[in-house]
Amino acid sequence: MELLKPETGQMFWTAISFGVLLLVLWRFGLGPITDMLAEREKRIRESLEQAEHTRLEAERLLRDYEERLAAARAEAQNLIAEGRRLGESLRQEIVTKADEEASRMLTRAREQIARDTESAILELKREVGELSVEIASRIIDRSLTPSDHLELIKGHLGEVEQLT
Amino acid sequence: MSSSALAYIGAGIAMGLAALGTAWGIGHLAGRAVEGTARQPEASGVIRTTMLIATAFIEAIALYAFVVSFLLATKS
Amino acid sequence: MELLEEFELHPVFNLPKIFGVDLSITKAVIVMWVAVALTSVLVIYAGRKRGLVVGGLKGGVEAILEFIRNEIVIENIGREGLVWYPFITALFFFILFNNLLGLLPGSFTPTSNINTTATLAIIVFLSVIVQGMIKKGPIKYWLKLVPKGVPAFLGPFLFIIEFVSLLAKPLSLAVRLFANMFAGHVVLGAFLGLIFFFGSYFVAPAPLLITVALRLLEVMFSAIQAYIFAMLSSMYIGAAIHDEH
Repeated sequence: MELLKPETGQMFWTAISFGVLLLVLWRFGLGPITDMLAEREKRIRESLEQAEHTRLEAERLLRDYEERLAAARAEAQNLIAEGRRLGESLRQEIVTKADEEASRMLTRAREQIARDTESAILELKREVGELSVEIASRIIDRSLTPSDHLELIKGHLGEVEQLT
Repeated sequence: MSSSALAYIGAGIAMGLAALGTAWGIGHLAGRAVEGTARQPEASGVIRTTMLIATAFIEAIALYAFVVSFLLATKS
Repeated sequence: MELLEEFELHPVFNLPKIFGVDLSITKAVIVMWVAVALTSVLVIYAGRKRGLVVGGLKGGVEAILEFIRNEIVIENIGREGLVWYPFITALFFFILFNNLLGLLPGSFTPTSNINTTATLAIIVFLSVIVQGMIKKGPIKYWLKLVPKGVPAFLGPFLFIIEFVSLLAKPLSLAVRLFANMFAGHVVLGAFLGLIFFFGSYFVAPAPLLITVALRLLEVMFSAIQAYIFAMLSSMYIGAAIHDEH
């Protein structure tokens, strides 16, 4: 047997068979499938684009929310700082007011005390005068003229003043 | 020696040498392919396909020799 | 040699010779018809009443078609090459089924005959040239075979070299497919022949098992050879469309 013998019949039938197959595939077979493949390709590309779009949208939303959250946080921070400052100033004010009040009350008390002391001293002076007169009159056992009185009182008062 | 004996010897030598070369080629190819797969496991699919195709190419050369040696052996 | 009997063509129906062409129907012709019918039925079946999501046989055929479209045609020729999609598909399925049907016992492998593969290769070769001449102009295509920037006196030599390499492409296509299929079947036959050579029931199982394994391997090679033929064809067509240099 010759391995490489040309056989025109076989060549002819191969060409015919292949031609028929090509014709069938070209005319009838591949049309629907090609359409379907193209359709599916389009579908896939579209859904990919859709997904990409959705992803971008979601990212945008996320960024938006994050921004808003940051803003809210800053706002809250501001509010707290504001409140703290307000409280601080209020406290300061109250403290100063209380301080003033206290010092006012203190001065008033001092004045009162000074006045009381004054009146007490006057009262005391008077009392001491009267007492001295009485004691003196009892000791001396004689009455004195009003001029003597006055002189005596003055002398005593001077002593008392020196004492106090 | 008769001419047919020489043809048989020639056929044997031709096939043997072709097998030698092909074996070396395919061994080299497969070794490199394994190396490549080990280095880049994610590309193993592509490497395998390319390797199979290249194997077929290399093998084809041995098959040419096979045809030639067959012609020699069936000459007489 | 009785080993080669399986590769001889014997007419099943005798038909007269027309212009020296023996039109007799042989086993090979019948197998090719079956391949054509199978491919047509499969592809038309897969293309009928479609939803966008399919499974089973339709899904399988469709996966192959999609693979041919995306990985072979678009990858090698480009989107404009989708005109060639039916051609490449026809090549792929024709060779695939011829290879596979030849593996059935008692059948014949048309692709193990050099005439079949040579015819296919010549068809591819003519397609390449026609495509190149359509794309680049009938004369310019031949002139473009010579790379640019070559000295004038080298031009003719390079033209001859390029022309020979152009002819070598279909030749290698034809011989590759033919030799693969032929060698595969010879090896199968040789291992089966071992059984008769030894003529012993004790030895027989070993060659039998080897033959089974080799036959499975042949199934794989059938698919790979069909793929390679289709891919090389589309590469050649793509090279005719685009500038190689």
